[in-house]
Amino acid sequence: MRAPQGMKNPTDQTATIDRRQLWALLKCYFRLSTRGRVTQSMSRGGKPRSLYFVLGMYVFVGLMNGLMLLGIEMDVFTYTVLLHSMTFFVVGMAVTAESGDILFNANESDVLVHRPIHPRTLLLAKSLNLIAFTLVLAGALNLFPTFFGLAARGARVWFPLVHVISMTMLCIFCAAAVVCTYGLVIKFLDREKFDNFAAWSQVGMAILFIGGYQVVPRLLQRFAGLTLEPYARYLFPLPPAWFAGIDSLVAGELPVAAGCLWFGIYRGTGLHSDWQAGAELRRGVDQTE
Amino acid sequence: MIKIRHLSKEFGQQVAVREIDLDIPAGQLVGLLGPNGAGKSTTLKILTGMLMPTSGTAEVGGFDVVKDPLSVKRIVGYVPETGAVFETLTAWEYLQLVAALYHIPESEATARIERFGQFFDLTTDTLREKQLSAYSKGMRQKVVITAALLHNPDIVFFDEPLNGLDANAALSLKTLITSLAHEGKTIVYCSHILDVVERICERVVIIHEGSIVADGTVEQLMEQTGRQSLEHVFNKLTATENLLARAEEFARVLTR
Repeated sequence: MRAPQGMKNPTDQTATIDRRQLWALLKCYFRLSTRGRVTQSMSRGGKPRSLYFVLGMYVFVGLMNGLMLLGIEMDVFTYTVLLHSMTFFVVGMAVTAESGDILFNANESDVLVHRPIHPRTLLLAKSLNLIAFTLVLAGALNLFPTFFGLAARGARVWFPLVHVISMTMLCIFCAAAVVCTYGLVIKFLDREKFDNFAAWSQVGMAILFIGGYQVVPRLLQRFAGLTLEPYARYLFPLPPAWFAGIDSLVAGELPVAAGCLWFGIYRGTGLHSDWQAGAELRRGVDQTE
Repeated sequence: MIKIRHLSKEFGQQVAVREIDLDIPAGQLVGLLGPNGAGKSTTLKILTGMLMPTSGTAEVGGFDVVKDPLSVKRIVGYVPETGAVFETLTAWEYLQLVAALYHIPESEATARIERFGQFFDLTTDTLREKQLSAYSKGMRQKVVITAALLHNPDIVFFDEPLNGLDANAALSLKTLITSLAHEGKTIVYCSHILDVVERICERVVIIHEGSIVADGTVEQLMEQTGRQSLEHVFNKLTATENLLARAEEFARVLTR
């Protein structure tokens, strides 16, 4: 019995990640992402927008928000809390909508499961794609605000570099949180109910986000002259604050101890979520083997 | 080539496949028949490594489907009943993905895709430019069949492959299936269209309620059941009693 030309030895059990398959799957998943729900949600006359249009919209939204934040003098911590919050909600919602098609694609069993793909290769392709797609959207949204941050009070010249790193960490956390949430929610709801739940959550979050952007600056002005630093300890349950802590620690003026605290919370909670999400998905994929 | 022993599959309380035993030698074209929910698709999914059996064993090309599913998947081609594809890819992108998953070099894959395109009357422009969501059901089915045969598998499982195909494409496919069997491929053809099975399959296996109720050539089955055609054999072995009388009675009530 022969295997197709070039295929790995069937008895080679250690070769679990097949690079050629991984690259082909990554290309496929990225195409699916760029032609999926995010672009279709901005469709015109039933025709999905191109990814460039969507990215242009994200860049524009980021520019407007950056200009708004630039107009209010604030410290690095406050600036990056608001910026990471925007990234977390906007990108998180987009990835939630998109990941349903990538992680739990209803057609996938008939398209891929009968192909000779090791579950680990499949899982790695899905994870890398989700992180890459999150990074592309977050990168577009943060393009201008990353440089506007240099104007924040106490910002150091390396702020853009540090912000890119903290944004990347936020994206990894965001992708892991989405996978984990999907895994948990899909246990209790069927796929259709979950899609409805996700759609309504998006609407709710959008309203909350727009309302929050109107309310928060006014609250800041009223209570502490545009700084969240005095309230930092109350913000610890919010993931964006953890990453703002990193920005503030390395490229701002927030005391080192407080920054470490946020980073410690990230290490403790964020990486735990990543690990849990990975384990959850691997269990699911292994069951299909 | 395919060896099944005491194979069962249960979904909770429901038994989809019940203690099946079956041997299919290399180069045989076998028709797998059965009413809806009989367990045909479940059996195919076990043989392609997509589902794990609850008990029993199955070997495909000498590889155990439970112990070595990847080796099984390397040597089989499968045309699913659903005709599922990634709809936002073009046919070209989809087929290149499939080729890469089997490690077919890109130049070789391109040549093979073009050859299949010519066979199924799909132009290179159509393959390259249109997303699969814009294809008709029949065109999509041609792509699914191409994807199943692209790596030149030794064993091919067809689950309702004629779904959506026009008369000419169906005729071409039937001829292709017969030719593949003559070339030495083992083919399991699962369908509800009995006359096609009667014409092209050298052996027919009928599954009913998860068990094999008949196995042999069409002539043998007609002789065993005393019926004149495969349709009547199928009806005798799988239908509820008085089906024809009930249909006539229902039509009378409907037109009254």
